[in-house]
Amino acid sequence: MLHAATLALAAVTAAGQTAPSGCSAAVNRQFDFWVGEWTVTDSASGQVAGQSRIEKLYDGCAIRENWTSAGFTGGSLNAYRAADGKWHQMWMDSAGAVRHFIGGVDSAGKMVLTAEQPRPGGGAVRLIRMTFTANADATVRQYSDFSDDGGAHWQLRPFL
Amino acid sequence: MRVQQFLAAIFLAVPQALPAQQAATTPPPPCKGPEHRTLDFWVGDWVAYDQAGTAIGTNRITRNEYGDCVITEHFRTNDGSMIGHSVSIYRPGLKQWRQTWVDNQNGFFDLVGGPVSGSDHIFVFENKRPVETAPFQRMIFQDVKPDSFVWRWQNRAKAEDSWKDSWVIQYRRKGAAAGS
Repeated sequence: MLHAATLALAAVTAAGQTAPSGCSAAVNRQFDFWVGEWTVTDSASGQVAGQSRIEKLYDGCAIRENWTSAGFTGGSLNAYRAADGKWHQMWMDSAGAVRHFIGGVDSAGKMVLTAEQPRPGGGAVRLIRMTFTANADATVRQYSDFSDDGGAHWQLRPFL
Repeated sequence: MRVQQFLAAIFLAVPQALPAQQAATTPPPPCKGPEHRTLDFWVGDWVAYDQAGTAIGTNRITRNEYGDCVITEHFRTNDGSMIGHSVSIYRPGLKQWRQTWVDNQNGFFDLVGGPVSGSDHIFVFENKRPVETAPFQRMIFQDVKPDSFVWRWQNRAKAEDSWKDSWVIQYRRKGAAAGS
């Protein structure tokens, strides 16, 4: 973050401009509650699931997730996309997985992102949903569920 | 840096992936096949030049941030006007590369592509248009040599139109002699 902030200041100086960056709008900050250095705990088992560093980068235009757990790394790029008015998250990891989540903030301020996952052998696409909630104690709750019927019914995705 | 002031636990039901479950089935190591290496020509530390030959920025491409699976890009112009980052991965099921790019100009690009044969370029990524009215956009890699290549960002309004350059960058590997 410090590095990115330094670059941003340099950019303003070089251009001789004092205008705020194009990503300082409130909508670009909707996911800022996720930014930080986190120890991630599985609420079901109470065990530490991994470490996650969430960075706000590129003059506030993007959020990068850096996930680490035993023998596994992954990450995502997150940004509000003005073209469709939605938040996008692209996840990739060391197991070769790719998921493109799309969504936004609901009326309660929760970030809700949903990805479509093709099913092996065909059949209905599985919807995978993640809901991020900023808790009052400065922690964040990440809840994930899935639906195999187009969103009519949702089930918890167990961690293990 | 307020975020580091509250190193806190987050209560998590599920991350996006299931590493422990995957480890239990001991599958072959992911992303080891040659099809995952077709973008490796891009890996390295590069200096970016405009068409007049002026150095305008740098680009660092790595392939080890997420095992063997993801190729990452860190681009910045010398004046700081464009700072961006991309991740690229090969998807065996679709036989297709996927790239996501973000930058400090509020850019978010979702692209698909792969190697090309019999053309003036060897690799292409085309933008997945978020809305029907969005222009067609793509990047191509051409004249690829061990220490240099040309990158073109192109667009067209309609699928039947010809591609037109909107940004051309000549890349030269850092430390490489001119003309190599």
